[in-house]
Amino acid sequence: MSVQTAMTSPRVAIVHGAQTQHKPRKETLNVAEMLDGPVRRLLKETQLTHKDIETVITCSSDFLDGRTISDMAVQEVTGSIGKSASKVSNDGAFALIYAWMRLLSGEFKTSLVTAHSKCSEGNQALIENAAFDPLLMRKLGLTNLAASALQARAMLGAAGASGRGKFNERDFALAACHNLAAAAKNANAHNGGTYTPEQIKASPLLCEPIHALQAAPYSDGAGCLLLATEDWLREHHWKKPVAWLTGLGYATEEHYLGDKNLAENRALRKAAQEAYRRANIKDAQEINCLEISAPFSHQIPLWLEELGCLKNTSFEKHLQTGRLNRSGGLMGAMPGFASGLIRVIEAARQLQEAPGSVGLAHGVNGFPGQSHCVWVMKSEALA
Amino acid sequence: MLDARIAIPYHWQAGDFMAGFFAGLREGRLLASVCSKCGCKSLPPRKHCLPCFTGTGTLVEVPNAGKLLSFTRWTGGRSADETAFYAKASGQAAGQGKGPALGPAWGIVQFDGCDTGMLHFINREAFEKLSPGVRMKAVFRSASERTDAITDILYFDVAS
Repeated sequence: MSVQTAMTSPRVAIVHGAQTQHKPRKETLNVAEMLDGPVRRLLKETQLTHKDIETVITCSSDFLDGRTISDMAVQEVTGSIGKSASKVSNDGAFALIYAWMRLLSGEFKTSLVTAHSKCSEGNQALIENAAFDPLLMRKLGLTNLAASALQARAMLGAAGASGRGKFNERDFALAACHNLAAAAKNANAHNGGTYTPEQIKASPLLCEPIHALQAAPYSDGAGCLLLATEDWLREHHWKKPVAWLTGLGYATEEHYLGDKNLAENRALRKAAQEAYRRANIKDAQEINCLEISAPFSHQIPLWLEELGCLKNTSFEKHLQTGRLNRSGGLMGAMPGFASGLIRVIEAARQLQEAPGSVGLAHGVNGFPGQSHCVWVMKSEALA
Repeated sequence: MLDARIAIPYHWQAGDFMAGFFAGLREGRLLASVCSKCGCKSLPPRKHCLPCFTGTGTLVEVPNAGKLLSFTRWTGGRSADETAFYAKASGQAAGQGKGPALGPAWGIVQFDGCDTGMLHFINREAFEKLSPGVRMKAVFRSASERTDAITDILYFDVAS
């Protein structure tokens, strides 16, 4: 293969995606067997084989899987053996960056991107705690729940203290109602239902002010998608609508929880601005569907604000637009590092059903939302 | 199903700069860094200033008094694993033999003159008195129990 010095980068699209029916515990299946289902379905539904895939990017967490070089566990089902394959150990939305860049380089025309996690196989509190700096934070027993509760409290704080007091506990409850109701209609989700804000607030407190029904569940699940360049799609006379990746932004912020104002999230704001600039989005209102990753419901209004969705509307009114987390987001299932890739797969699927529309998919990593990845995509069949 | 456990001992270096911070805790003092360029005062200290990347160089003592920025307490377990984890954490929060059944509470306090907040456990028995902005202080372990670690501070408590 020759190294191409492309003057213009190729257009790259999500051709198709597939995911598991996520469960609190996938009995009998190991991680490879769990990922095998979506990969086989993707190949069947696109009428392709592993031979059509030029490069493979897998996404998994060594800590969640309990082994280092955890991509080795899935090589038999991703078809990565003998190919240029690599792994991203970050939320799955970030794994797509690596695959996208490989296609932009001109070196590859197709890429399979996979992500898997089985939260049921490890102790999630210990695994989350290990993400914190060992000297200053880990010994204090922090987890995603504890860090996110500090964030939620800061959001509620009075003006002049750390928080801006822009959102209230009713917003947090409404956010949970919205996503749980949507999740109940998603056949791949295992959590969801119809609740009133009062029922959300009456559910047991986990860590003040977060109630049990405001926390996404831990799940076992996997997903995969196929990326291809425009050239490849033309060579294959691809007729079905695909989701063109038009914008990407990602950013990170301070790790130490005392180093930042927890009532805002500058990393997501920066990531969104970058993605919108690249996708030529002037106003977030142009986006038809949003699949965002919020492990806790109070993050839904905060993420929307930083995504620029609440400039001309209240959070409560925005929930009625019907464009947010039609899948239920993480409230329906949160399979570790697969979570963000599944948001991308969901957004692409919704776009394929509505050619011409614009979608946004968001992934998050770190507690409580330290790194964010924002994808903007637009569906369109080849002319 | 295979049941197993990975237990790997580590020996993390604090680094020469943070060693100064921990030595301060042993003496019951809070040492912050001050950026030589932008003046940003960080507690815990930063060898490199986060806003401007300048090497901060020196540690200065800050008064043991500040205001509460955020706080929370753990109240329930979704699983036996989670309950066991927080019970252990709260053992560290309360010291030996005191309060593990209650679970941990945490807070972020901005000490006077500092530009950043510091995170630690909070005295859970004072939880009802907490609100954003309330005056707080660090409570240190007794001198003989200190180990040059962040847990040389027992918890933050309401300043009375």
